[in-house]
Amino acid sequence: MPKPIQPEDLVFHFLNVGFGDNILIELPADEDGKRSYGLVDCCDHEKTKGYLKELQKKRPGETNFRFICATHPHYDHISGINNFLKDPDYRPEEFWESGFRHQSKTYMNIINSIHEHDIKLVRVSSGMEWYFGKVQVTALSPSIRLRNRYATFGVDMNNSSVVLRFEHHKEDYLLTKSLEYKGTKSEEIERQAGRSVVVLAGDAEFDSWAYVADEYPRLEASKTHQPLVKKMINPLACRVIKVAHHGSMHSSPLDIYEKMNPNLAIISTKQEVSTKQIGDMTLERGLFPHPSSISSLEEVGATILTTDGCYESSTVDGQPRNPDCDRCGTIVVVVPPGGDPRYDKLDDDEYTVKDPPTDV
Amino acid sequence: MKTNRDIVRRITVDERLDANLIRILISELFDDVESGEIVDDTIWWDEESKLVSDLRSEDIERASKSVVDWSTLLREWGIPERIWPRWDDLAEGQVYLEGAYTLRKIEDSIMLQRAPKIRHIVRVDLVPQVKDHRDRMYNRIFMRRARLA
Repeated sequence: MPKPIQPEDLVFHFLNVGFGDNILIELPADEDGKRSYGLVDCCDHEKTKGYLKELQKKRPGETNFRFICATHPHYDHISGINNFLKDPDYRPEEFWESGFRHQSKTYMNIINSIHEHDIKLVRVSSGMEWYFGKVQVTALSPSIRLRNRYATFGVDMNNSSVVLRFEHHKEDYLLTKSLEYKGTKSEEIERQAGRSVVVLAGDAEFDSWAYVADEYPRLEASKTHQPLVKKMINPLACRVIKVAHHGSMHSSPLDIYEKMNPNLAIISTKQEVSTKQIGDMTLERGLFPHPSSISSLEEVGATILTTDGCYESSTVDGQPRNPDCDRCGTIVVVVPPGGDPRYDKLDDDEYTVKDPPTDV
Repeated sequence: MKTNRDIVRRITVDERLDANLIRILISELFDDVESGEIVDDTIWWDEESKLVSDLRSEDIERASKSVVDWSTLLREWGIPERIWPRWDDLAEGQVYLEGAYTLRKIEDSIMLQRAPKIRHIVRVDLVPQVKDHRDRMYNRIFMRRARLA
């Protein structure tokens, strides 16, 4: 049963823009009841602006962004960003990026706008944190060890992706941290770890995840290592993941999904089929998402939603896998403070703007 | 009327999505520009993306409607086959200038000049001036902030 979206809820809108990422984030309302926004990647500025205008008719908000993040400089993630940087009505307070420098004109236009309009540029690396009320944002990637290798061409653009972890705390974050150190064990913290967490994975691939796994380990309780007893939170646990790189073959290894254990996996995509010659055999398969990625997500029991509906409408024994969502459309995820996320799927194609929901 | 012979294109390899699939970005030189510094972003139209493949056209058509055959595209642009960039050599971050033009070094700058009789495709991203320009543009953001601090 859908519930009304409350002013204190954190809301993610994974816009259907075809093959590309475009995630509009509604931060919880301030004391005046107004929301502010974040934008993680933007492939289509027209659709984003149109959707935002509709959104503000439902829930009041400031037009300018608290931040715009380009996870990495591939065209399907940044092609709509410069429009927002040039527009004084939407210009962000901060621009977050991975530090990977591309040669494309689209990228150079962004760099020029940041300079011209004196926008604060934040070169993100793992461990950086931001706070928006009870919402804590942590950068899981890129590792500084990856970032230091950019110039040697030892790292490709996807692996430079900014990966962000959003946690919507029930209480003030500092209070939550103090609970962590109460006594020698906090089952409550362990149980709730990941409950109100959404991970936006950009296009990170295996190299990137290797560092994430190393830098954000799940530390188990131990009777013999007292200092570890107090550190039981698994920082990768989450309820929702925006799957990396449109669910490609190298998007995420199974062991990362096992650590995350997501309930919901969102894939922003427009399926492309490719063929590969192996000896006499021609292998034809979907690339985005790739069968290996789907299989890993199914293995951990995640509900899979795609913006083009390719997975949900694919059939098993003649029946669509997910008949409630077997269409293309924007995906909306509502995260109450400290609560379980819930979701809805709209029915817009990549060119049209759908009315944002008030109940999810 | 503008013909294919008049067009100068800047082609950036954006992403290799699969062994057989690459996204390239294409921007054309403004019609009224006869010459300019190749790193000057103001002389080029905004980029458009295109998915290209090295598969034969009939195989592509069977698999996807949004992908074009790389060799067909180069043929349409009128690039002689002997100077086509090899498919396997295409990698993200490469920039090619395609069309009828010449490049000339004037002091520290690389200048592009339209030259209708000379049609070629040249990789330019390794030219020091191009690499330096990108890094200089990026770093000046931090330099400005450092000065303000």
